[in-house]
Amino acid sequence: MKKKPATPPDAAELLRSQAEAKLSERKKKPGAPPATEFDTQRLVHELEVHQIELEMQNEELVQSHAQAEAGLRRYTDLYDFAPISYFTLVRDGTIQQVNLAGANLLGVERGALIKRRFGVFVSTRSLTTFNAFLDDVFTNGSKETCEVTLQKDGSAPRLVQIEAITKDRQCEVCHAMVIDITERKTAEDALQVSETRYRRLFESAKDGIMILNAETGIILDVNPFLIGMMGNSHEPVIGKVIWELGFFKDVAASKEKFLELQQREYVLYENLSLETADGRQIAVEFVSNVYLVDNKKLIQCNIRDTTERKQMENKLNKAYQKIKTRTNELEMINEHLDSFAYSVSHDLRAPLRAISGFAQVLIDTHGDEVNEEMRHYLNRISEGAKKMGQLIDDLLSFSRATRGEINHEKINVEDIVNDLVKAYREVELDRDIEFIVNPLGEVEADKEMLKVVFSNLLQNAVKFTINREKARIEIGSEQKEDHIQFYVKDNGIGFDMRYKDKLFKAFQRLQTDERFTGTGIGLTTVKRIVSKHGGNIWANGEVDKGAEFCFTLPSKMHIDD
Amino acid sequence: MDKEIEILLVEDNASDEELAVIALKKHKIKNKIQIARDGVEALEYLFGSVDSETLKCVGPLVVLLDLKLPRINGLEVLRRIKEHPEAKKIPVVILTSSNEEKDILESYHLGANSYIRKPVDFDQFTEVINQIGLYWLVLNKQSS
Repeated sequence: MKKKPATPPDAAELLRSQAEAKLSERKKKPGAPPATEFDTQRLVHELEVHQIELEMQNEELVQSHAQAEAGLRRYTDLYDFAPISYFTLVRDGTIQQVNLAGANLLGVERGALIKRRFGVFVSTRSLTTFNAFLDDVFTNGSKETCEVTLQKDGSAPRLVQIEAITKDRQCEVCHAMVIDITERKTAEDALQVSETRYRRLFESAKDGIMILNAETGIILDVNPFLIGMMGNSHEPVIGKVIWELGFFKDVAASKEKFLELQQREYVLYENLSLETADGRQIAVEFVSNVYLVDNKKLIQCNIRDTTERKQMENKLNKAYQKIKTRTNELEMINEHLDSFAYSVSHDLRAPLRAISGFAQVLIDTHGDEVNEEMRHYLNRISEGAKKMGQLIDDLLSFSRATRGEINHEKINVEDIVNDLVKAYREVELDRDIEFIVNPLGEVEADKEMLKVVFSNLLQNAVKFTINREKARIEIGSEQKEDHIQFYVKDNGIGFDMRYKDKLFKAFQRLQTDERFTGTGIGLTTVKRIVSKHGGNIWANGEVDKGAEFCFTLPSKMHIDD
Repeated sequence: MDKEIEILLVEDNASDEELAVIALKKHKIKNKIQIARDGVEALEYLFGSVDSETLKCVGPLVVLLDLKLPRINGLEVLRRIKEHPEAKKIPVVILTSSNEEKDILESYHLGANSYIRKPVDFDQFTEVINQIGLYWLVLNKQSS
């Protein structure tokens, strides 16, 4: 409805006088009809003035209409292109007006949104919240806010914040601003999670943690563990300055000491003794770090109670000392044993040489005076001495094999065995012995010790096949999962499995036959060496059916310290 | 005319000494045998006194040296002989009960010409003595 522009009274008078002036000017023009009758003239004058008034008014109207049009355009642009979604909603939630951002938010063309319910776009879960919110807006007449989830077809739900207001309680429409806060909310949630995590860490840490204002030394936060460590004192800690707390008198007893924490980015006191509220001395490790939060410097102090660790360290140290002493003692004993063994080898053999030697000299030089019986006894003396000499040698080799350090190296086992076999072939010329050496591979072991092992096993095999017309000795190996198993098999006199436990015991011999001479130390030595290398040894046999000796060596040796 | 080679037998054990002499005789080795009962006597025979630096014994000589000796031990005697510019030419045969590896290595390291372990068996013992005699006294001509 067009309204007549309001004209103030003085403006109306001004308009009329201006119109009259224009009319008298027109009358002064030549050719104007003269006034014949006063009334008629007057009426005409009035009409003319009025006409001019109307013309002028029309001009003004055209102008103000143009102004209004421009204003409306500006407003519409502002509304339509605003970066925030605006909706005008009726009491029941029907969309009366919406700007482009709003249409875009809901993903529907603007024209198609008008007269639809806003609630259609709200997720089922948020619908109750939204309806209650709309109710509040119209009942309270104040600005209301709510957060709801919008559900669009085929895309992820968006979390929005709606703010709405009505002009007054009677008004039938409200103006709502809708802001997409999905990203903000996600970030907030992440922050919340991070904060919760930090809190959990802080609260449940088994180290004392304290946060200080780096400028003032005021304690901003302490975790429960630190409170407990300080001696469950009930005096409040937060808000105090660190050097006021007796507990930290050694760390920050004065401002000067605190300056050290403040100025050095990182401070570590490895072994501090602090006194708890209940007067106990505890050992702690104190670490402080300076860092920036929100442009403010903070000092984080971590305090670890090392009392138990210290006690443990002391215990360990004592144990270590004990072991060291014991090791020294053992080393000394070993040295004594070494010199003892040396003496045995040197001194015990000398008298034996004399016994055997002079018995032999008697036979050699007084052969004609010595009768058969005497010769027999002299031979017995000589043999006994020789046996004793062999026993001493075996004992020494046993002691050497078990005392010495293992010297690990890669060894081609076949080389060792082939060398030994070659030596036997050269010595046992009068016997028919078939040696079969199968592939034996490589091991990491002590070469000299491994030689002793094979030498003993081969010696036994050669010895216990002495009454075989055709002796057969086979050496071989089998690669197992984490070890190699070797075997030495012969077709000799074998043994009774009932006595297999005695095989590897020192001085235990299963043969009484004089032909099978031995000292009973060889297999004991072998067993010791194999055990020292972390392996096992066992034997299978049957009387008169041969024997098989098996032993294992780890594929890889673990070098001990 | 070549002067006959002497044998210096350094041996503290009287039985071993006697057996060695019997063994040498058994193999018809008739060289003169000098006996020293410890390291000191050995050094005195060779250098006149323990501290002397001059070789006193001038004739060709073979030393049969035991290692474990009273007072000055065999390895020390060996070292003194082999460090001396003239005495080092004298062949030294280590004849000992020990078959400790470190003794063998140390002996060769110091310059021993041979290392022989005394066997308990007298037949073996005489055989060893025979070989020493044959090799060092007959085959091995010393530079004079």
